[in-house]
Amino acid sequence: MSTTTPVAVPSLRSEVPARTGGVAGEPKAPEETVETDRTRRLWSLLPVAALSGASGYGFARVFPPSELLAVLAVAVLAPIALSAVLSGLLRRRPTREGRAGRPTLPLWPSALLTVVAWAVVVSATLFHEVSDGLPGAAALRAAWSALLDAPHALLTTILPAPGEPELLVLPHAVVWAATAVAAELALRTRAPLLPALPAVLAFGFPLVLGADGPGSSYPAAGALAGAAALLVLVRSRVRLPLRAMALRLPAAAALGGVATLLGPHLPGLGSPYDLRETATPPTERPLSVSPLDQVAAWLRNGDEKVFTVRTSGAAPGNYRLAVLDRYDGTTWTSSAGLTPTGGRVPEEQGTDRDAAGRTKTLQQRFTVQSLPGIWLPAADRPSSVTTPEGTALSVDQDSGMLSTGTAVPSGFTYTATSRLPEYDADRLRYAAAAHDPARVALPAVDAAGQPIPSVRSFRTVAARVTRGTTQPYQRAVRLADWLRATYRLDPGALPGHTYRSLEFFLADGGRGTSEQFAASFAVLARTLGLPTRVAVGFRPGTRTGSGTWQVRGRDVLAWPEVRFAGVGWVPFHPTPGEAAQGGPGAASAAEPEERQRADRESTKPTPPSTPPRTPAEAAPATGGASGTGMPPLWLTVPLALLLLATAYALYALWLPYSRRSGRRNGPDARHRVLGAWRQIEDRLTEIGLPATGAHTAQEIAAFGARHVGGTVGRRLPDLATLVNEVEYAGRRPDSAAADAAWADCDALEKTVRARVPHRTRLLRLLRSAAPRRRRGARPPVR
Amino acid sequence: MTPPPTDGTARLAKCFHALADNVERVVKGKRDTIELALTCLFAEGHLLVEDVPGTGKTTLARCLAASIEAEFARVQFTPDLLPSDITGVTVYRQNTGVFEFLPGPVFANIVLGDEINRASPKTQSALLEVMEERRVTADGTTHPVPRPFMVLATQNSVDMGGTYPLPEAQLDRFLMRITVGYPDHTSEVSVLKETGADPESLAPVATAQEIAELIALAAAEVQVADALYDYIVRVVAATRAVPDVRLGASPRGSVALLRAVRVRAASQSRPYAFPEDVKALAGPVLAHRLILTPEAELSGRSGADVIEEVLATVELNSGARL
Repeated sequence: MSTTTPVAVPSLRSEVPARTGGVAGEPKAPEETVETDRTRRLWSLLPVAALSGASGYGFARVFPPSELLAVLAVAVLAPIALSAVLSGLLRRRPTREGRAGRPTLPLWPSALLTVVAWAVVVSATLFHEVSDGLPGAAALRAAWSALLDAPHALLTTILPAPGEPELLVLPHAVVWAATAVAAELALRTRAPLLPALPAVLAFGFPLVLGADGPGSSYPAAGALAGAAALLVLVRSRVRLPLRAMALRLPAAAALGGVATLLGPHLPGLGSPYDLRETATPPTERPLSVSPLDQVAAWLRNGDEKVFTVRTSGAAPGNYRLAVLDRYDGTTWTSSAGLTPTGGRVPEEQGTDRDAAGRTKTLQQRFTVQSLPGIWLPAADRPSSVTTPEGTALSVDQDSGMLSTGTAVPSGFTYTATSRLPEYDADRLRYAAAAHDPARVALPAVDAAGQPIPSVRSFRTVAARVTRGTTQPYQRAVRLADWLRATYRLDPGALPGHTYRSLEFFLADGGRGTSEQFAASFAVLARTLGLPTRVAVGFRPGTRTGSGTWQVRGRDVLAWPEVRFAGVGWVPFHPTPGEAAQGGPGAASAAEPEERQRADRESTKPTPPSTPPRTPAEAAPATGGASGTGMPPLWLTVPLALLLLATAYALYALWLPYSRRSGRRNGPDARHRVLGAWRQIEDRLTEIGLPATGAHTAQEIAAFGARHVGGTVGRRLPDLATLVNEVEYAGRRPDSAAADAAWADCDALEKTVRARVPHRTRLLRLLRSAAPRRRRGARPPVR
Repeated sequence: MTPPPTDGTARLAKCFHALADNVERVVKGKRDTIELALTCLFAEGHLLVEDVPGTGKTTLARCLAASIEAEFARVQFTPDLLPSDITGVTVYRQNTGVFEFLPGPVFANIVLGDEINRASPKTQSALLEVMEERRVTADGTTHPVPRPFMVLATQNSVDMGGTYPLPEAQLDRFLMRITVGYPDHTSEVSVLKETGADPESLAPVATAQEIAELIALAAAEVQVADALYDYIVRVVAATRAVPDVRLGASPRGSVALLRAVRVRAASQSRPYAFPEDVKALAGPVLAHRLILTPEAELSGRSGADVIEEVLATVELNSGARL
């Protein structure tokens, strides 16, 4: 019975909107459809170009961007223009049915011409010097050979790699191929996102090759994602709801931004897989006279101009030429392995200069005048070097030494940028010696297997000098002070740093050059277990103008360096008179005040034993949780939110299954019937039934019959009557009735599941687990 | 197993539909309105029919009266109508030397108060006692009205000049307020074709005594689950919490709704009531009992809108909600 009173009894009308499965609006004429389709495909070439560009820009971690961009421009634009013309899109023929016609050209000519075009372009651009500017077989062979060798060469080069044609050919080919395939897909298919696939696959090349490169891949990845979204927008044949997009796109962008920022910091994520760790680099062992053997020669020709330096900023410190870390009892040599580089010098492994203390960046331009050997001087360990175009530059990743691989010609000019550390005095004072057995080793037996007596005497001397000290740094300072105070610098002293020479120097001679002082320090320190090496270089030289310094032979200097855990290699200066000889820019005078204070305090009586501070303890607090083993606050909060979100998602996924199981396995038939009905009610909410809980069983049944239809829809009113009788009339159903109710429920769920998109169901699932707010006024069931 | 209909509910349903069919022979296409009026009759409540002129308000009342073998009285309310014109008057009999009470038209089983809002408030209020207590007190003597007793009042919703709107207290005495509405096209054509159909042509299909028995049976035999009592109370209580309502429905409204729900269930041969009964009757039973705020009235909201909103909001929070 319904009423005609002012109160409208709820009527059940359809309110579920028709699903939009096609193009909105009236059917279009065939010509219009073809025209629209053609326009959409043409416009989609723009996001395809953006996709390829973003993918190619991933190579910015592999090559300097300035050298990469021109290559990318050609590799992106040329194949797109070519594919657009070759595909015959502009002359697409409509079929009788009005659909877009087949391309006038099949795929194979397009693919063939694209390959030919690449060969011509790469011969005429990157390899134009091989065949005098004209495409030719020689250039093509060179390009092909370089393309095959480029992956391995890039994996064995310190990034960023030099912008050489032999290496740039790889991004050129990869981006060209990806662009060509993507353009063909964009022009020949209707799938909205498919043309993004080649660019995504191509992005794998820079990801793998640039794993160790400078910068980050996230900008390129973000651009790739953005271009893909643009591609979908352009190619989608469904009219997108702009208002919904306006709300969701910023949210999606914000979510992507948060994921981009926090993603790299998630715990449990290891270092990215670096394929170059598995590639064997063509390491070159330097064949050159040890610079330490040349110290005496430089001192004898003290006026000889070695190189000039034009420096920016403050007065420069010492220039390091070579580092010698192997001692065989006769001579100090280098264990360096040279690796090609485009100019970047990687950080010293196991040391974070930013964490170890403040750094000062210094840029110096060197002009070599007379410098024997293959090494290039630079202040401390350089971070990057710029050399003239065409110069092959190598670096020893362990020590940071630079080399051209061949004798350095006179007039050779380069620019080195260094980050000079400013040591933390407190940290140095209690720093532990690094674990580096190779840099502690001393040959203890001779060729005949007999113990070398010198070693014992060195050990005795070192122990005596450092008696009363407890900290490694204190021992090193004590050694340097002792050498400086006990022995005299004599530029004319005999060269040599064999065991016997050093024993003579320490026991009888008392005079020597920095060669003997540094070598003696290194040997004595190694007997104390301190990892030590000898550096050979030059003092700052003589100032000749504003920011210009002339370094001569007499400025040569050798000094020892000791490696401390978490700090790295720290130079010591046991040679007396370094400051007097070097003038105001001499090494010890240029020492930071902090370091000098550490040295002074280290010579004081030993303070009570203090546990050495770990690098984490010494590092400035960044989030308030440093030193406790906990991640910082800025990471903890997002992590906690992430965990909560994950737990919520799992709960939301579990809840419906648990609820359904509870309903289906109720204690008796009555509960099972009512459970089936509640399950039906929940499912109907997915297709438009307002989830107010204020609907009667017959209202729900009428809604279900209208919107679900079929056999199960027709059975719902009877089931609603049963539910009413069970709930309000005390009817006791039998188990057959309960089984029938659940059979209807299963059928209805199957129907609803087929109608509701997965995404919508997932969103409803997530929302359904949220705490229910107090319901406001809702529309009646229609 | 489905609970079978009881004897009382079966008899009521049979009588209910016989009456409805009989009335529908004259009042075409208004089955729902007829059934609401009958629900009101079997709930022994009073009915206020409000609509524009010419929609069949009076005809409905006359058909109802003609279908029942009972006393029927009609009062045409006018501004000069006195209370005694309704309830009766006491006169002095010279021949016997005693005062005698002459019953007014209210002493009938079905009283049609036509255009009730045209009478003065004093006269309108004369109906208060008899509608609620079913008796008239005159000169200290109480005179009960016959049972069943039903006041069937009509009033126009237009042409309000010179009328006296019923006060809230009197509106609350009516079990339902309904509108007849215009008939649909087919029904109106049928009305034109059968112009000879007259309420007086209807034969009675039930007696007043039978109606009185069925009223008692409906109240006794229709069971109402606790969950439904709870639902009725929550619906009525919700009308008091709506911001647009200055005064919500009273407990008298809950009782009235329950009575109507029982009759509706019995009219469908059900010895038990369902939430559907509550939803179907909440509007006619409760809407006229609400007093809206002036702002709500100015914005065009009505009591019916509020009831619809309440029904769409209040959960059927039965214990079986799993």
